[in-house]
Amino acid sequence: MARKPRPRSVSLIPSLPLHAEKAVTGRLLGFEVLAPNLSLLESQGYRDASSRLKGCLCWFTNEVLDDPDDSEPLVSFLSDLVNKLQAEVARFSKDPGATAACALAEFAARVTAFAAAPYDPLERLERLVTAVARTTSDYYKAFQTTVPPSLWASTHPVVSFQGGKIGLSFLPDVHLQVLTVFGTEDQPSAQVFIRICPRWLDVETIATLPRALLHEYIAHVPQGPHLGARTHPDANDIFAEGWMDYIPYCLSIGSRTARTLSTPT
Amino acid sequence: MDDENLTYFRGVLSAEQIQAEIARFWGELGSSPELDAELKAAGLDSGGLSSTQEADSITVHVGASGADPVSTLLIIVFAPTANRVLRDLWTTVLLPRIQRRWGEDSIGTKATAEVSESDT
Repeated sequence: MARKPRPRSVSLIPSLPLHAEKAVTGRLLGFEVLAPNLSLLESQGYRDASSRLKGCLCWFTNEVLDDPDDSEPLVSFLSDLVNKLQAEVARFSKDPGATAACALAEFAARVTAFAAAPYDPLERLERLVTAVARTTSDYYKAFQTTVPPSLWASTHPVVSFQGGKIGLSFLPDVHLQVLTVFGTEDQPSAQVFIRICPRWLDVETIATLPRALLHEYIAHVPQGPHLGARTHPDANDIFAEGWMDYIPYCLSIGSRTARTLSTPT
Repeated sequence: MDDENLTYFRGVLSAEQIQAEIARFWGELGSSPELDAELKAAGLDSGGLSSTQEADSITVHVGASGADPVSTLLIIVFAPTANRVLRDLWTTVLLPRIQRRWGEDSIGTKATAEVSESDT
């Protein structure tokens, strides 16, 4: 069902409930710091230690999702998370333990910085969506394709969290969903629904989110407005999504190359 | 009276878990300022609701089951004496509360609704 667009003066994305915010922030900050170190551990031959560290981050952040009544503040939760991971890493053997301890010292510093200047991760997501919309608008302009500015002005993101497992229809290992629903109530509008699954939020999913959003804005938002959700030709048809993704990819590469060539050095 | 009930596909939560969430709501009624504000915003009177509060005023039943748990239907049954009020309560307060706590997919889509959406 199409809904009325939200007023621009308020945040476009409502906050997550505290327990989901703790899980999402824990994973976003955790993977931001740990991802390169997990790769380092693997390159050193300690794949088991890497898996253990990653598994513990997921386990401890999942625990909070199972307890929506827990009122422990976000910063306190993050500090506890670091402590729990450090306790786990203390049981690692010497060499992988040293690498993991360095990674967690970095994570602790990141949490301290967050505590000094906390932010809502969804505010960052809102900024990402704004950047994606601006990039998409520039993209169409670059190819002399006229898209009315009102189309972008009446496009709004809606974020929700999911308790179960979700994935892209053509890439189920990426645990998010982005879809566009068009409305024509007061004026043509589009809502881009971003479904996040804290329990399955991993490095691949976090890395894919900007590209999935860009795909949605380039390939689907200008398809509207139509009443209701866009109908997929075949939910199992990889080609149906793939060609639309591939063309913007080729065009963006071409655009980037052209800009590079035209930029004075 | 079946038409007065609501049927959903099963989501993440089982019938027992949803029933526990309903019990939790009744337990908080009258003692949670946050809940009172939610009810007021939805145009519902918490005092009036207290009179409808019985163990079986809103119950969750499993409508069909099979090997595939996703295809299970959950039927939300409202006591006939206050059917309309309880339905409003479910739709405007209880269901959004459950979805806020356990995720948008905690309860599936309405079984009667047409499902037509796709991702990216």
